[in-house]
Amino acid sequence: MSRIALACVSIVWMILVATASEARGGQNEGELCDSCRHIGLAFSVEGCPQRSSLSSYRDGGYAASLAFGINVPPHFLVTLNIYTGSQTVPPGRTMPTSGDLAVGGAALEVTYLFGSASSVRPYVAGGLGLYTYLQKTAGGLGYNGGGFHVEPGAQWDISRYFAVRAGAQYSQIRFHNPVGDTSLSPGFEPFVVRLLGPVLRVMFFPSVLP
Amino acid sequence: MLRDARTRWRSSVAVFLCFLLAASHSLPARAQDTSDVNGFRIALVAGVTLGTVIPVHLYQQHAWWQGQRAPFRFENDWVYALNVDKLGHMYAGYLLSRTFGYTLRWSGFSEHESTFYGSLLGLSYQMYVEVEDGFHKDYGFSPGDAFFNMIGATVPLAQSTFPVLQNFSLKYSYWPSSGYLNSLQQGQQRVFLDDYQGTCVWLAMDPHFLMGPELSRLLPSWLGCAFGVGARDLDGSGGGRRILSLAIDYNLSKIETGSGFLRALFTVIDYFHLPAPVIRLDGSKLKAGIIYP
Repeated sequence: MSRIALACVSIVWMILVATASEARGGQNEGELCDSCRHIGLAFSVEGCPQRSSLSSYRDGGYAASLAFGINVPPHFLVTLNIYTGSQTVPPGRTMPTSGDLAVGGAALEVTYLFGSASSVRPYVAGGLGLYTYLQKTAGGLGYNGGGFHVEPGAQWDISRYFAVRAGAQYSQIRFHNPVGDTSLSPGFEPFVVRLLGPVLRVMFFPSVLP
Repeated sequence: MLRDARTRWRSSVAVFLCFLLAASHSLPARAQDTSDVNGFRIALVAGVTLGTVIPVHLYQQHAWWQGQRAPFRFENDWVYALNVDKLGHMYAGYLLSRTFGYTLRWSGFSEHESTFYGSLLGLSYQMYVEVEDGFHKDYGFSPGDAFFNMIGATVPLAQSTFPVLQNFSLKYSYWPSSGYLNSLQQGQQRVFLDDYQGTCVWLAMDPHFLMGPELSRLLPSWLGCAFGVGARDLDGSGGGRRILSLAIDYNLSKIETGSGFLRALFTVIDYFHLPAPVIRLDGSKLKAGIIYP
């Protein structure tokens, strides 16, 4: 329900801005190429509905993120991505705990956008981040980790203010210490999680830098 | 002890916000979008800001040295307070960004610069608080809170770029809940900002932009409407019921006056939803009230 609420807020927000953009009387026409060259704030909603696992640790899950950052023309975008999501680990897996885990994290991401004559441009993004997997019970066991991700894909600049991205993301996270009720995890051994999955992202740039 | 420290922390933030809000809106706005930074004013703004933030930070650090600190971690709390707390974060991001924006405008930055840096400062301050929460033994960095901090902080930016959005604003209303009053009577230290059962966050709209000139004249310029979200019977783990409200809203800043003081006062009051006639969906029951905060 909460995530539905977040999705609703995000969608309503996008619609409001889109409506406002339309109300400007088509001023966006002819600005498609310029759009990527403006310095601005990037505000994005990212959905990763299903991540397939390359390791035995994770079996299904999703993450959503919001990003806030700066578009450095003409090729770079630097964002701080905040992640929230859920992960289900069935009993019997080698991960130190099973069940539904809440996923939280933050990553500093740099995107390189390749030049293109059209409004669709390939890109590659990479980032470093911190993550926590935590049991969904109050005071439960969890793990802190850090890692990196890389994400090749394509970005479609819809207008000066909007862009849509689709890509595939590979993440590798090393969980190095337990958090929460650490008494539940005696003899903890660090473990690595590797992920591969699709990423869809809607972005808008509500302002340009002064 | 932890709750006490948190309560004092929230109180300090509230005082800081109120001070900045009152100070910033008493300042005259500039007519043109030019940048002419006044060194004294920017030093004053920076001094007041740092003079508030640093002591609060030091105090909180001291509280954590008492054994409250834990390794940094993320912790989702989506079910807590049925998202009213998240909307509160959005409102706080909006309010902080606006307030920083006004103070920067007063300091001589252009309209565009002050809006941009105001949003950046507002978001930075909120993220700083969130990161500090990440080191709390019983809290953690909440991605959900950070999401709504970001949304709130970008609202002034979007309003600046897309003027039609200026017909919408975020507002806040509060009426102490019985649970909150009972806990005060029992000597517990709580702050009203954490009393989500008494909190309602509103999306207010000035409907005049949807009307033609003739229809618009029939409706006083200061009259609008608002949609509010609140909650009752919260148990902190997802229990409770939502309250959705549709109410009349007042935009006092639309009242024409020659008094600078009144203009500033009206602008500040417009960040809050005043008691007004309302229709409420309380759980599954539809209710109506003549005056409801």
